[in-house]
Amino acid sequence: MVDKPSVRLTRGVCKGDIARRARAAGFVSSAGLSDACPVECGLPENLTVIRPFYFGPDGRRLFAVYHPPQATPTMPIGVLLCNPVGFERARMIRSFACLASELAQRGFAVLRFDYFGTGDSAGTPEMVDAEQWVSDVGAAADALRRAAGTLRLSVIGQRFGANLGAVASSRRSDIEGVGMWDPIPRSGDYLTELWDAHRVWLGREHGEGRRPPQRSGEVVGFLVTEGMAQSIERLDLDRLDRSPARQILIYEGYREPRAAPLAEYYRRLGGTVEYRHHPCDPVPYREVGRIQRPAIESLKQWVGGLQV
Amino acid sequence: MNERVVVFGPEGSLVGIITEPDTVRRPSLPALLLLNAGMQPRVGPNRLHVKIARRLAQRGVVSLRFDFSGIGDSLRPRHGRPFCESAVIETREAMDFLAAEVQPTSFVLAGICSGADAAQRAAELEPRVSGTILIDGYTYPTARYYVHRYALGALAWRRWRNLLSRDHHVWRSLFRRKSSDEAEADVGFFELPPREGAEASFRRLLDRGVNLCMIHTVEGGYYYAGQFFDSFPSLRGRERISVHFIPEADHVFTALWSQDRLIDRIDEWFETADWSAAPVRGPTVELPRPAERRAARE
Repeated sequence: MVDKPSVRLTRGVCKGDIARRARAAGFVSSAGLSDACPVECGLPENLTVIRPFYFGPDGRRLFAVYHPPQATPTMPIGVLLCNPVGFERARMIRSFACLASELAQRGFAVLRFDYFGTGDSAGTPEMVDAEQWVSDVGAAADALRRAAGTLRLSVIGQRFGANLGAVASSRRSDIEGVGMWDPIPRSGDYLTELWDAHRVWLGREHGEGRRPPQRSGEVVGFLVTEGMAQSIERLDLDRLDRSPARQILIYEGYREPRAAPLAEYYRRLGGTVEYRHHPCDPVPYREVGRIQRPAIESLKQWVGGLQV
Repeated sequence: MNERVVVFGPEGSLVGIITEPDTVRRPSLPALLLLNAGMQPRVGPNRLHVKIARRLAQRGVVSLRFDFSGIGDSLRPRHGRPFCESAVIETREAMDFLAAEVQPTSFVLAGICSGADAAQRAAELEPRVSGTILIDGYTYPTARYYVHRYALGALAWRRWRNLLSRDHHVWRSLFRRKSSDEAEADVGFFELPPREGAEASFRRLLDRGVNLCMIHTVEGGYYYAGQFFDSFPSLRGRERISVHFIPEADHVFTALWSQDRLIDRIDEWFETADWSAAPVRGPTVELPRPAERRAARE
């Protein structure tokens, strides 16, 4: 929920400058921070209900936040949340924090984490490729099992996080359900989208919109190495040889959906697949405060219906 | 370099990461607090806070990046104050916590935009602060500002080339559907003080021996080198002020080269600033409670 704000000016200050800086920093709510949070999201009031921690071996320590269940669960399933990467991560943090808190309030154990080289985890992007991120998903799943003492897990990922979560899940036998929020069926398309986003950013900032496509380099504040690009291309969702899990949700918020064929593919592999399309406006790349409520409600409802 | 998660604050509601040098910590250098930029979580826009913390750890500097209440992993705000006040309270709570953990000689507060505002406000009230890094903090128009922004801008062929580019935001905004969620600006928690007030605030910090590092970009409303001292003429010639202008960088330092430039400037400043003057010790200034503030206005 975002209100239309009013702009309060200080004498002598250029309104345009203030507006640009505020947009640049991701300000979205006229209510201000103290009001936006309780209105929009069931964030916990007591920090004892979330446990931030590092896990993993020295040199590969990953940051995670564990949300222990706050009620008796109807089904003993842990939920692992897989962030998108690069500049898309910041836009999802609040939505994932809300989703995690609200699932925990319903009795589910939830873990969200940062892949190596991202967020507060160790490392830099040059040190890692997408296959290592798939391994990180597996390590996080194990960490969730240890924290929650649960045997069965579900995985929810957004954008390329959905790809990582699905690929990692397809290699395990303890994942009951995989929720894919705006997945990218062909990973090569993801690289194209990254370069398009970078081209748009260059056009806005420097008027240098017409650049040839690249395979590697800088993408809107983050570095994609050649090794990373190659590893991304190997994570096509429609080429997995087994369904990521028995129960699958594909949720698309794109105005032009593209994952319906993916749903059919996983059905042919034996998965029980639910496909939902709820188009919404794209989130500007610098807007970090928006909570994507329709998707959150849909994912909560899906998790609540999982069968072990 | 070691990093560990910390939870602190009187109600244990704030989450942060302490970054410490692997080997030798330099006790002569202050500890660094990195404050949220707008609603960006503690890692900073484009992971800047992480990069700054880890670079400075190589120099022996301990840092804490944390989330203000209601941002990132920290809990919802609990004291009912506007952000500009709660940010100061929580910055001081972070300082209290870090002081107990690592016993620094003093603190440097750093922030971008609203984070810079929080740093400035907290530094005014907190005698333990020996330095501030204000990135796109307080900027004010001057006569030359208008010349650079409008007159010279009209002559810049690049601006016209940008405008003719189909990727220019003007065309994209004309042809895309406006989102009902789209907001313009909210300065509800970053209200620029009057120029005279900002100048007086900087003078008070300098008189205390606080080192000031200002870093500005065009997107932050800073259009030429020298705009700072043209805005605050009484600060010309004062020591302990370091002003940097990175004109091609955007407000959140998206381009990798601009991130490197920013981090280099901060690293150099930490190394070259005079930290020998101990912060002036004095009574800690308390923020007025909401009732007192209302009474003062009436």
